[in-house]
Amino acid sequence: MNPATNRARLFRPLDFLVMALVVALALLLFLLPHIGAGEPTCLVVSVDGVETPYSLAGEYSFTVTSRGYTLTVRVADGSAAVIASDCEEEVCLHTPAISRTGEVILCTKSRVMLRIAGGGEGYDAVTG
Amino acid sequence: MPLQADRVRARRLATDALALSLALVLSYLESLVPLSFILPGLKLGLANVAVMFVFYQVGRVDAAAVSLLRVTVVALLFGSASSFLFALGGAVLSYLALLALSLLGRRIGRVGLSVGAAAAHVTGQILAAILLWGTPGLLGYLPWLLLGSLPLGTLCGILLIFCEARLTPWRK
Repeated sequence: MNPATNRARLFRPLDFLVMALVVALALLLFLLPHIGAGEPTCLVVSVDGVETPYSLAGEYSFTVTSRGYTLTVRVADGSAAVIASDCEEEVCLHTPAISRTGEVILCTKSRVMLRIAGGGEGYDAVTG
Repeated sequence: MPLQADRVRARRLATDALALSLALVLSYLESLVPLSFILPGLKLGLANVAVMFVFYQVGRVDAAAVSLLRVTVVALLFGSASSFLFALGGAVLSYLALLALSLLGRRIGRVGLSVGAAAAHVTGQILAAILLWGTPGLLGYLPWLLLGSLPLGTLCGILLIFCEARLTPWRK
């Protein structure tokens, strides 16, 4: 408490250190997946842990159904995005298109995850 | 005097019960302001204000009990087994962060504590989800959730300051 104003101080010096550490950790987690990740090679669609690779070349759409939910994925210009979903949360719809190795789009309701795989991950045969 | 000891125990129990009730109501109010469409798992975190209030005004063991009971009751009333596990992961890591940061004493304020606890909470939730679903790709959401914990943790810390200023004279 500050006796002069009889009001509690909102901030103390170490508060800003904690905030800076949180920001630093966030930045580190942003950068780490891209270090040594290699060029993007394919889109990997994971449904309940079962992975299916898709090509990032060309333009095409496909649907994924899991746990009663259907997602429509559009691949174009080397990127992938969810363009339609009947999931009420719509997290996947609001996630921007992914194109860089390590980027993901996740639908928590359907347990569907889209991930850009990079060089060295060993996906030989791709769909699409 | 035995009567005084009984009064202290009764006051402690009443404060814990009040904080738990408040945490449950705040958890319900949080669900009316959905932020999950921005990021999965993003919440206002208002219920944590009640837990932190108990941590500093009653005791650490009481805060752990209130936190654990809140997570359990919310899961029973509004959630599912998986939501219970996510919330439990967040609550455990958040409590450990509170314990660690509280060792800094008066050098850290309620806002710093709240931000640290909020960051630990989202980290615990993501780790629990990764363990449950086996999808390490969920880590891609963590940096965004950590950035989200800054304003939301600050808000909760400021709310805690105001609550302590107004409620602690009443408790005396």
